Amino acid sequence: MMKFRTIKESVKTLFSNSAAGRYTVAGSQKQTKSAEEVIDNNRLIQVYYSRGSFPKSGGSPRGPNDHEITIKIGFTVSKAASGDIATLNNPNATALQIQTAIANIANASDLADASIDELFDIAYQIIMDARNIDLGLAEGIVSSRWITDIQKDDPLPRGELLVITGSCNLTLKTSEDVTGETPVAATAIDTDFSIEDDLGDNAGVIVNPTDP
Amino acid sequence: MTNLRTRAITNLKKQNTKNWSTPVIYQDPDGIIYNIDNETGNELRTLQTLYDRRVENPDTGEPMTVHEPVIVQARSSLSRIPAPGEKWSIKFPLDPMDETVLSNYVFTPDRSIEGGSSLGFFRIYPIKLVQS
Repeated sequence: MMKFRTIKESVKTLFSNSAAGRYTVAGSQKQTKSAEEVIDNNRLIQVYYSRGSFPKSGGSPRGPNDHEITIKIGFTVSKAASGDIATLNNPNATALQIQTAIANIANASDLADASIDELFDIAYQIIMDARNIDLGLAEGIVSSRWITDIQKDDPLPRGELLVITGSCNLTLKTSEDVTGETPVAATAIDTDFSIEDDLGDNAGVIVNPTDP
Repeated sequence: MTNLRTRAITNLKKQNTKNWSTPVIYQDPDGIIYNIDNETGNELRTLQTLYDRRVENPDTGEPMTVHEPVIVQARSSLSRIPAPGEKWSIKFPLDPMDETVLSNYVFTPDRSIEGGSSLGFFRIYPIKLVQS
C-alpha cells in the first residue's frame, strides 16, 4: 500500500483523537451533506487525498520516488438562529420583553461564521502542533507537513438552516516504494564461491600466527 | 364593483387559505403579536405553508427533495409588512398534520420580499430558532 493512504488515515486519526465531541470526522469526500445531518453532528471535518505530484528529479526508474502530497481538509458547519424561545412563547410576556428577545436573537449567519472560524483554529493547531510533526506515524515517513492556505466559502441558506463550508490544503512529502501492483517474490542469488586452491575454504579467515 | 385585479387578489387568498394554509403567529421587532387576520378578524393563517422543495443537487445534477419551509402570506392579513433588515419571529406548525403545536422560527427579509403587491402576497424563508 502506498504511503499516502497511510498518511491520510493518520491525519484522520489525529483529528478523531482530538475531537472531544466538538466535531465529527469523515475520511472521504462526501458529495452532499444534509444540513440536518451536520447540525446533529455539530461540525464536520472531511479529510481526503486531493492531489499528488512525483517530481522526476526525486525518483528513479525502480523507486523509491518522492511523492509531494496535498491532502484537503474540508469543513462544514450548520447553524440555526439562537434566541430566548421561552420569552417568545410566554403568553404573559409584555411587548417590551418580546421586543428585547427578538432584538437579541443571534443570526444563524453570525453563529455559523464564528463556529467555522473556531474549527479552522482547532484544525490548524492540531496539524501544526510540534508534537504532530510526523502526523502520528513513525519518524521519517512524512516530511515538510505544512498548511498552505485556508479558504472560507460563502454561506448557503440550506433549508431552514444556514451552512458554511471551507477547506484548507495540507501539503507534505513522502517517499513511495514501487513494489508493483502484484508484488513479485525476490529471487535469491547465491553469492558463495569456492577457490579451487583453497580446499579448506580458509580464504579471508584470520590465521593465528602462533599456529604451526 | 371590483376590478379583475382586486378580484384575483381576493380569490387567491380565499382559495389558498382553504387549501394549503396553516395557522401562523408573527411577532414584529416592536414586540407586537399578530395572530388575528387584519382583514377578516379570524385566526391568522398563511396562504401556503410549504415544507419540502425539489432542488437540483449542485454536485450531481440529480433532483432531490430538501426540507425548506416557505411561508406565503397575504398582505391584507397583516397591518404591518416586514421590511428588509427587520428581524421577525414567526411560529407555525412543523407537522402539517398537527396544527396545535407551533414551532419557533425567525426571518429577516434580507432579500426583497418576493411576491409583488399586485398579487397581494409575500413569501418568506424562515430560519429555525433554537434556545440560546
